[in-house]
Amino acid sequence: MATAVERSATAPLSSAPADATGRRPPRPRAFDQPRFLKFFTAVVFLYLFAPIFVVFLFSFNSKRSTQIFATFSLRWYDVLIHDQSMLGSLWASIEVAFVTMLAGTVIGTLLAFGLVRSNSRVNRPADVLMLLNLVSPEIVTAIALLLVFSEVGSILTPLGFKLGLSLTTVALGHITWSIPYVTIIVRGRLASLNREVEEAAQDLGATNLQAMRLVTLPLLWPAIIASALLVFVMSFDDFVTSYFVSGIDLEPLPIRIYTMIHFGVTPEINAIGTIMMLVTISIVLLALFIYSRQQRARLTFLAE
Amino acid sequence: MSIAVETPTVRLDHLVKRFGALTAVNDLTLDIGRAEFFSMLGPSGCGKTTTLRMIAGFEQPDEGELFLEGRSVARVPPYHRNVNTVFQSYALFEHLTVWDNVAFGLRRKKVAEAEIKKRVGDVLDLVRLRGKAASRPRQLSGGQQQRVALARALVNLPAVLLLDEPLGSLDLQLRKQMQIELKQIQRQVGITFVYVTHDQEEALTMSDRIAVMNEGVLQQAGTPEEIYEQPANAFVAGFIGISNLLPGVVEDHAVRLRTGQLVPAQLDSGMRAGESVLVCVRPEKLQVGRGDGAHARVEGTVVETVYLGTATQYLVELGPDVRLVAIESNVHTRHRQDRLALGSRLELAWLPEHGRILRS
Repeated sequence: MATAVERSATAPLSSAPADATGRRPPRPRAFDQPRFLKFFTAVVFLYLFAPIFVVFLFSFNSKRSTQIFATFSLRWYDVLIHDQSMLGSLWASIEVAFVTMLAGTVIGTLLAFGLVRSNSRVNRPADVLMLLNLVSPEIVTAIALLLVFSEVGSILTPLGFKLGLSLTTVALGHITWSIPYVTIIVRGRLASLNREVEEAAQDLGATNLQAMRLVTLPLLWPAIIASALLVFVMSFDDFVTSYFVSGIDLEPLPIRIYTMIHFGVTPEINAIGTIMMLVTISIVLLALFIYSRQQRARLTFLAE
Repeated sequence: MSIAVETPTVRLDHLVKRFGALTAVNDLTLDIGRAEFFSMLGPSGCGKTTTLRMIAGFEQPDEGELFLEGRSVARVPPYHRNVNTVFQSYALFEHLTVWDNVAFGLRRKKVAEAEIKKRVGDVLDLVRLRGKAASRPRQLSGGQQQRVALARALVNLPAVLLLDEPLGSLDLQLRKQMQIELKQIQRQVGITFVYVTHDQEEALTMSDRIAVMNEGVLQQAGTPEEIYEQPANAFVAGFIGISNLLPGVVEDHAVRLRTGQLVPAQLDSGMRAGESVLVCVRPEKLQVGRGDGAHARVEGTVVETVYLGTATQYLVELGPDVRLVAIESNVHTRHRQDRLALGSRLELAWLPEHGRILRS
């Protein structure tokens, strides 16, 4: 009961009250009463969203004009759903994004496990290479991919295989840059997982594989799903890589739109643009929601 | 204490564990008996947690053998050992309810669902968390999470329950309460507990036996009374409770203290005149100014007094760098003026059998 007092008695008796914390310094006034800040913020947001809003608005224009808004109509959406080639491209983009998402998420997650869990000497170099991939200019990667595909294609053709530029090469290209995004997100979550949780599962009779399936993966799901959705979106509206490595028969949607602009801008582009935007934004919001909810729950859990 | 004829539940036989150049556990030999509450006590880095992890199977010993219920478990992975752990961080499964956390082990062992239902229910009653079965761990308080971790391990009825500083992250009051609760639960279930802690008071309160470790080496193993009253060396004496260590030199049936006084002492056989020793006396064994011829007596100056409510603690200086802590019960000293003032001279006395002589 009296141990604390007794203990301090054997140590130096005069322990001055160490008041290390002190008071927080007052915040700079400029941040308390921002004069220009509100205005400046409004301008930035206007700059960011005005063009998108124009696209959104004019997709409902009843006239062909892209400058004068007449009346509200769904005319261009009607045109769009009867445009077989546009719908084909939309479907192609979804297909590519789906394949990229699956492959990128699996490979990226495995890489995250390797980087966090192994003590290998290739750990650091692998980490740097992954980040290098992330920051290298996409156009360089795209050109490199084009060269690789045509080279590999010319080797494979005499052997009876075909690797012409097609949706397959687009997906292969997208997978290359999607991996680091998954790895970075999943790695963060994995590193914050307490290793003792897995040990606890083993302690309770789970083999390594069961511990992975029953404990580790369920705790990682939010990060994995969030990164998968992010990769889906990035692949879905990718232009640069797709432009270089897609074939001529069926183009992904962004390339299709680009080609279409050569023949003049029609409000149909506004309509497809609006749809793309809504799809993208809702998926990103979903990803953010899943990830942040998990993080918040985790933080409150740790704070207890 | 363990009974010799019975197979010890845990037997550590010359265990050695190294991490690189560091020897975390050095030649550790211990028997832990059935239904014993056994504590491993020591400062951080003394090898107590490493020992626990070897029993659990998370670490493999570099040398020596480990037996559980008489069986060598050298090649047995953690998930096949009849041992469960309460982790320091609790390591609860955040994505599962309290009920599913507790049922985890039984489900792995393919126990019938009806029996799982009964056993999980019983153990949740035992830790008083029946009402929280559907909650997630993060909805519980620290003390409740701690009890879930305990229930999750206990429900499997292991031969040994390993506890790695399970009360470390609780506040003082809750910790006191949980100490008593843990001890009661241990008596009720009759499972061997191996309890790792760095808190000497906790170990004294709860344990049947204590092993004190330092720098990977076992210093002493024994009952709380043995450890406290007859510490094997200066480390144990200093780590458990407060001890007064007076340096001196052996003379005939006595010790000549460095400060000059000659005090009668009970010497171990084999201690020869001229040998350097430490006289170890517990504060409560010191009598303030009431010694007679049978006592060892020293005189010093009061340099500090601390009022503790039930007792008064005096810090008495015998000579340069030689100080004694004495505790006098406050039966007769209810007022401030009844206590000794700073700077006053004071005689302290103890019976020779209360002064333990340690080789320095």
